[in-house]
Amino acid sequence: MNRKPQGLSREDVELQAQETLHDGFIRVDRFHLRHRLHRGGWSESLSRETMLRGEVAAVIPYDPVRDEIVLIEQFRVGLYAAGDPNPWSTEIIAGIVEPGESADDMARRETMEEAGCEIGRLERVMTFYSSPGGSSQRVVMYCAEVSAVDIDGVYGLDAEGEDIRAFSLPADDVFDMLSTGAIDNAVGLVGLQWLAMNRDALRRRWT
Amino acid sequence: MNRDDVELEGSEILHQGFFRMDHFMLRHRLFAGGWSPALSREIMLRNPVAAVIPYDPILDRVVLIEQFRGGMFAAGDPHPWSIEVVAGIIEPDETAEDMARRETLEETGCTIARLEKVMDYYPSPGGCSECVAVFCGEVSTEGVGGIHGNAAEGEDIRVFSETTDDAMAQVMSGAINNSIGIIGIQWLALNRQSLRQRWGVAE
Repeated sequence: MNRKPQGLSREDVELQAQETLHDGFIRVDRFHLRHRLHRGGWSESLSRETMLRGEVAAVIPYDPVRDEIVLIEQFRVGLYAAGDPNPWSTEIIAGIVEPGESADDMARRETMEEAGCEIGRLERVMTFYSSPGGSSQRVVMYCAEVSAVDIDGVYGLDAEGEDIRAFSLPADDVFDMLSTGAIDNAVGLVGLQWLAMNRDALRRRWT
Repeated sequence: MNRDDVELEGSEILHQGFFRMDHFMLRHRLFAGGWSPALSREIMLRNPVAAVIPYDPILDRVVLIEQFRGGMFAAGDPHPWSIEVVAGIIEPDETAEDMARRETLEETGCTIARLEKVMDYYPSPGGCSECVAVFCGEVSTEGVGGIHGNAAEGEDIRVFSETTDDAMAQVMSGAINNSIGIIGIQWLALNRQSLRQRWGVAE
């Protein structure tokens, strides 16, 4: 990842103590640290709570021939806990990368599990933190070539309590959903905004 | 389906510190009909956030900030300083709009004229209740820069401005790599023409 050539880096942080506050499905640690300041010198000792979460691979499943995008819909506990009147979320494909698995392999496996789609070409788009103030979660975003014919059904792993509806829509209809609020999760927004800006170039490369 | 299709069977607090972590037992209706088994879900409860894309429609420039981020340090990132747009937690007695104006002044020194709601989104809906209300705020980037932030909260924020095209190039190079910044700048790249027309500054 290209970063600015100057500026502050990891060597400018002094970790003084780290304690685990909760260790269940999600782990929460508290870091006591200080860091160099932009104007020089050091900060006071700071206390920062952070969720420790693994890497996520996400996939924009795009059919360049039909100009269609595969979407999924599933229940999300974060929306429920926030009091959202509709805690089912319309998303693209995403899942946690298992230890020993590459993000590329995970992208192919998860797209089959969640939407029943075989991937052809797979391009890496970008890597980002979903909530860098309080979580270590990093998302590797891909765009994948799929065939959107006959994508309509219920998928997901029963053992993980997944109940996922997969469907496909014309790309322009999905881009309209970006302004109506129908897509309201970080992974979906980042991926679909990217596709809205890069669809034409991608179609030229792929068809 | 909607909220009535979820049955909360129990919840407990697992951790209460700066953040709160709860455990939910619930079941919900299935797409195929019927109900799921009882599901166990850990969820971090966080207050709503307001974010602002501070945009100068005359110069087509966006104000960006750079600050240390604990989540990136915990992930082992070699550069745990993050380039972002303005964002902060909404206080209980404050509207998102008021917070957007206050936080933009605190973090960048910029006063917002027009303020438009762009969207609401969840950064991590599988494990966190945090919801971000994103605004675009009209600012002047003349003379913008320097170090800002509330020292009492440990904030040390470097402020600068870029053209929309240069900010977009930083998204594509990976220099801007957080969801709020990427979503805000990509939104601006997709919508700046209509925004500038609405605000009466298009050529």
